[in-house]
Amino acid sequence: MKVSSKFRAGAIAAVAIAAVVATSVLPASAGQYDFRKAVPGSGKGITIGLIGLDDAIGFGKDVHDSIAREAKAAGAKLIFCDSKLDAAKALNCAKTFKLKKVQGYLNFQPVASASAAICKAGPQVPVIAIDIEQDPCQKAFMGADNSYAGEVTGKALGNYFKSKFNCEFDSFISLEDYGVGVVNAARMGGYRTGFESVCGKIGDKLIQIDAGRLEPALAKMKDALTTLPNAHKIAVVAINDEGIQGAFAAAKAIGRDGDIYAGSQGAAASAHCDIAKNTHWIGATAYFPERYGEIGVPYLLDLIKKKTVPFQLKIKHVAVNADNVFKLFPASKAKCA
Amino acid sequence: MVKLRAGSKVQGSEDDSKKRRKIPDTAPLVAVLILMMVYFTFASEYFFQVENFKNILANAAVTGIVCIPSTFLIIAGQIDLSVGSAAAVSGMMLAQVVNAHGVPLGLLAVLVFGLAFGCFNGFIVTVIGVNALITTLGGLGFLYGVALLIGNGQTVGMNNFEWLGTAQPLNIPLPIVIFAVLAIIGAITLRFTKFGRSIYAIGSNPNAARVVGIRSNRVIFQTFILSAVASAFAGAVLTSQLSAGSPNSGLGLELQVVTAIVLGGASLAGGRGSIFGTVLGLLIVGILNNGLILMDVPTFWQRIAQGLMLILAVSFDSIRAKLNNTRS
Repeated sequence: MKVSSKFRAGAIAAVAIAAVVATSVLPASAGQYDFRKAVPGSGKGITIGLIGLDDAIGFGKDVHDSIAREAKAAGAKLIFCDSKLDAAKALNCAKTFKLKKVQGYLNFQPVASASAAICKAGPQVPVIAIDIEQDPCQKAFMGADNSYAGEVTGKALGNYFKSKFNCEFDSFISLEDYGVGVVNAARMGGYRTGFESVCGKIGDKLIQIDAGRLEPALAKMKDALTTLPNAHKIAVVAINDEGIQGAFAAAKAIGRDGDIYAGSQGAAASAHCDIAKNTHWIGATAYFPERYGEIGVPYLLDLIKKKTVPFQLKIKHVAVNADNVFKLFPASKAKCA
Repeated sequence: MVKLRAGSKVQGSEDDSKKRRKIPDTAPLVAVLILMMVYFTFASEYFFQVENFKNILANAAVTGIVCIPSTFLIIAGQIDLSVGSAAAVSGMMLAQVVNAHGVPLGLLAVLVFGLAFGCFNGFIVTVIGVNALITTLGGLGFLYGVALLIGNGQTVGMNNFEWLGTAQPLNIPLPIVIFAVLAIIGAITLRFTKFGRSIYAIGSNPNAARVVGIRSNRVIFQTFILSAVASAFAGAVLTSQLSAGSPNSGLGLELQVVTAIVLGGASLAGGRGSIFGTVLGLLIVGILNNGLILMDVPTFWQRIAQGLMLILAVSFDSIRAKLNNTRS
């Protein structure tokens, strides 16, 4: 939130940098929209709902907080219901929204294939899906462009290997999270597409490990490195920042942190110091969950007021690296000093 | 003789009086339930509505289906922690088989899986002699892997089989009807059948049960089968409700089940518990969860309140047990 307010307060330059960095890496994907502050009073007398991902996850909490902030700014009443990563709980949330007569809601529940049942159980009002498709009731889709986001850092990592090692690499370790299904496939596939666009086919150098979180990454990365005793140019990508933090901790524990070169997704506050200081953390794709409300709330209010809203409302992802991390997230600089 | 009879009569009337004064096992739970309902009725205008009660019961039904045989197991001094993963595997199998071969084969697959996995658990516990906690903890991890494997880590959409989870005969959601029927059958089984009495005997004193001729291993084996079949069926109901199988759908179910059963007065040491108590435990948890959501209580506080509720209710139950022991 602090990051966000500083960003908003005077960071036209940072926005410009972000745009330049993003466009210099890859052309922006279609359907990406700028953040847009909710107009004060625009939600007066309106009740909106949010089915959250899981407040126990930093990303989900940031999204919730930003939506709550924007709803408050707009003067709308927000009813929040946490799915806790469980489609059955999301189904219950939808029923509760019906009971509470919400006029529109944002849905961040994680199981895309359960969305039809959830749509049916909930009120028949405008719905904006966050990050995960919510067919058939979604009137718009906002959030991460997972494939593109993976590609951004995959390409950055490829460029690093090209300049440093002429695209020679011993292995390409992919720390994934099969629990998140299509998001995992899109994001991790995006990494490979981006990397291969610079350095050619990864082929049988690809090692996929179900270790998207800190603890499994810490444990399994050690095992993976043990099987690669002579490898010194290893690309490592993870579905989030945590995975890479775990990978570096594992590599350091066995004296191999000089052998891995990493890219991650999220560029969350907890990773800013590492991105700035660790020369082997090549980059991360920023998702700006702390600003999701600046798309979700104003466009949902538009839908409730029967205004036309584009279907694709994707976040403009930005490649973050040691050079730009504190320009994009100035609040982190003091914390990392 | 007269004195003795009189004394006996006095003694008898004192016993009667004690019986009358003895607090029923489930009385504190009923009190908590009523207090919660009164509180939430005043706290949220949405609570005391038919639709909301249907929501509460429909949500509790899936957990409740698993709770019935799990209550049997806990009374018998056993535990099944693999119920959540078994439900997930069942749901994934159902979605895959229904999509490829239709509903009847899908349900058959669920039944076969439940039977097979129940036999597996029963075999490991009663024949190999491995502790039930360890066996089913292993099963929890093993089956979660299987659930991920079935869908390659993805959720699987399922078509044309919503009725099991969403049909409303007489305007009552079908899962509630199923749970109610199973609860009645479970209560009758525990109270009025040889099988039920054997379960209590095994849980109270396994050695004594064996001495009096109860075939403990056979009863425990059968109870594990019931538990696995119920878990598989609960997975099918959940998948039908969502029209999708998800490898994560049963995660944490085992904790909800154990919470409801222990809250309902069952002892993890075995020998004590009832289906009525379990139903009350389920309702307390369900109403608490629902009420907190209706009141817009922040998630973190919801978790704190749920944890505290469990501790308070179990403490209350322990105090009641001590009071009863002191009086007797």
